[in-house]
Amino acid sequence: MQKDRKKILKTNLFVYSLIGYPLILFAIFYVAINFNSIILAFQRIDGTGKHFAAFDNFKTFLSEMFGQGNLLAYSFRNSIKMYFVNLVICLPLYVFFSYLLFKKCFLNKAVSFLVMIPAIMSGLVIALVFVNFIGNNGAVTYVTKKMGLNGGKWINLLYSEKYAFGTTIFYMIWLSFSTSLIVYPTAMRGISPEIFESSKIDGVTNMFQELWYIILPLIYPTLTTFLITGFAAIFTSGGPILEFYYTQAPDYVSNMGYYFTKMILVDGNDFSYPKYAAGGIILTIIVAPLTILLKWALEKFGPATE
Amino acid sequence: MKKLFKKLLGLVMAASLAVSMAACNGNTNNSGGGTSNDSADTRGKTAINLSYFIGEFGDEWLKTLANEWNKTNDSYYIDVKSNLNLGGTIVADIKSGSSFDMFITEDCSFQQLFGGNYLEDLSGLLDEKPENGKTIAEKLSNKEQWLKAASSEGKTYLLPYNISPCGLIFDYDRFKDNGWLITDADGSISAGKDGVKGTYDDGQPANMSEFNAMCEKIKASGVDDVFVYMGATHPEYVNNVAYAYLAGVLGEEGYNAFYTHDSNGKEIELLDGTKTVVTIEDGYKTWLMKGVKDMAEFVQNYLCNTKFVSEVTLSDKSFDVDTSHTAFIDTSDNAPAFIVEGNWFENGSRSLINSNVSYGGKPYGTSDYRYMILPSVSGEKSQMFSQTGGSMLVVKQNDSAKSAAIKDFIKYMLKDKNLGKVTADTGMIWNYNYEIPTETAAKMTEFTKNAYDMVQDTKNVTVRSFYIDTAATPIYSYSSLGTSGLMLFSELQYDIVPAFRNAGSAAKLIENLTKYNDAQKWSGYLSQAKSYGFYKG
Repeated sequence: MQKDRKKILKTNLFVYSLIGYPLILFAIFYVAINFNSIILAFQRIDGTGKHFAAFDNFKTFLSEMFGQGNLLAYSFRNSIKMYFVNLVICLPLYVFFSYLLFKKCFLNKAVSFLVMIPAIMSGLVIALVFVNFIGNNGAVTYVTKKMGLNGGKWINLLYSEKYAFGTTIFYMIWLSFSTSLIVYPTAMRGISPEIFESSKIDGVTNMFQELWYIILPLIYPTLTTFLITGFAAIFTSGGPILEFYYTQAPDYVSNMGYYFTKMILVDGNDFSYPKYAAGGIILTIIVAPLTILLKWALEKFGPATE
Repeated sequence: MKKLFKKLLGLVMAASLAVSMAACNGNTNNSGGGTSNDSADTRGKTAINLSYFIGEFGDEWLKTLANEWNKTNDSYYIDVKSNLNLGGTIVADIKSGSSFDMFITEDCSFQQLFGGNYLEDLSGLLDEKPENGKTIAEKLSNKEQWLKAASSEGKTYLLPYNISPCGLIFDYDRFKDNGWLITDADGSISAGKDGVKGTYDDGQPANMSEFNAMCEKIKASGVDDVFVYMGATHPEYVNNVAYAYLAGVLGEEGYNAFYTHDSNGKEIELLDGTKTVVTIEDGYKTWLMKGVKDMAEFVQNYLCNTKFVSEVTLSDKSFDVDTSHTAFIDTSDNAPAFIVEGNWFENGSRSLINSNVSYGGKPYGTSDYRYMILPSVSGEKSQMFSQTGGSMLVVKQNDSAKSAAIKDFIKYMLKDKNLGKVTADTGMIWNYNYEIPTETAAKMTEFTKNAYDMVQDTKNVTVRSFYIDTAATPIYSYSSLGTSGLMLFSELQYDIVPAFRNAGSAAKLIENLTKYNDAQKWSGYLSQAKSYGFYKG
């Protein structure tokens, strides 16, 4: 009996050691922080301590977010724009290129290699390379000058109001190719070869038909996962802005993920935390039900795979 | 085997848990084996962990001083850990139980730690004499202002570190050879503000029309970019030039009203031409003083004007420290005439300068670089600003012997011979009054000599730090306004170059400034500062 208890204790000690550490981290860095954040959102902090502020912080955050010409308003709008660019431009591109890789088209290995490079290097290094690439002495400038674009002058892709947002979007698309080109072709490879053979018998004659009628419905669960997780992160994703600009991004390229990071880096004092905590709650209130709704809609109205 | 593996894994997990928990306890007390003091005998001694902001002055000087001191102390040794930690990061670190015992950093934004028993009171040190001579208090430059920034309820928590000027640097010999300097009627180079020929300010403009003529002359002689700086990577450097111009235009009294937000019962002229008395209650109005428009126009006409500055300087992210320094030290005729930099510039570019010798450049330390002092209101001193308002602080110690050892090290650092040696070796200007021995002064570079002479010429030049001015003014240091700059152009935008880039013109910049800084925001800052007991009288 005692031997059994000792054995159980030994086994449990191992299990507790294994799960104890992550559980403590979860309790501190998720539960406690979120709890503290919720309390902070209703507080005002000053030299005399913390005071109940009712919904003042929420009002301030909302009035800025739906205001005009301020950083928060720009960031809110840009985050939504980024998600829709991702949805309308990136997603079809990822699926198309993944399909080409899946079909082992010409130069597929070279393309895979090139696309994977950013994924295996430090994000900061890649951003630095990119900044130099489009800088005054960079390759892009060399080409644009040779072509006589912009009157042979350097094109300021990072700070010009005309190009800056587009440049950051381009970089984001390029960088996220690597993840997509791993996930989608893998999902496509999971489709049974018999399905392709029978589809040919059923009249699928070209690659477009194969992609549209066979592949897309069968990888739909993967697509929905990306769409849902992308939507859930709509206000937390900062893109490459921090790497490019650190805390000096022009307002017109800012997004919500960057906004919060910048605020904490530049304005990291006790007075300001309640406003940002309220902001976090507001954005959760917006995003959480919409994500659930999106998940429900995608599952309800998606194609049947039978 | 499986059992053994399980046991081992269990042990590893338990150990990692214990280590992680131990890491949460900030107060480490290592004995021996420092990372930065390999040459010193550290065995059996307790480490004093010193966090040091490493900029272009490097950390050799501090490690050398630490090693020297380590040899004199039997119980403790200084372990220098270099990093890039500034105000906000340090405050958070100390509040959460820092592993460091002492910090030497480039700013002094620690006022919110004064009330929480986080820091050692250093006021006892002020009466100490590092050598037979002045006390540390007597050595403080601009003592009154420093103590305002560094003290609370009779205790002093910060001691000054460096206040190295930052502004328009030019090569005097190049200017002389090209005839760009201001000359007297007889054709000789003018004496400058101090009225003495052969000094650091020879040939410098006395007013803005002379400054403008100088810039036009430089441009006409084929120089592409009259000014060069890192507008995308270090736009904050330009603030110091803009602030110097602003302080020059406002004069001593006007500038004091500007940053204290109180005109002391005197009328000040606002942007719209009206004159008014400003008190702390409507203090935001000092940001709307007429001089601010002059500053915005100065920036528009010179520092952000594509006639004098390239697009690359303004906003190329790849135009960094090395590329901008390389452009400036270039020996070609069309190289930039001025670089916006600080005293650390030459030391930081030591290898670039030496490798430029093979392209016709002068060896390190021999170029006659000087600061161009901007004209000021007639009869007033010229103004220079520093990008640093450095401070030293000691985290609250439980062990009185360790606390005494840290203070002894500070005292050792502040000996004139050490301060002078650091200045000669790196170009750093300490925020103290100190004499540099002749043999040490002989080792200074031409640039450091000129900068040191300028700082010492307190009759004609005032060197200020916006960090110290804001830290000494509770509306900045005890509110969400913060101490990162003298004014906010938009949300958390303290830097004039990005603000100008966003605005596109001086007029729009002023419009943004006026719109952003309103009575409502001000009352928020004021109530925060009042909650700490300030401005209640």
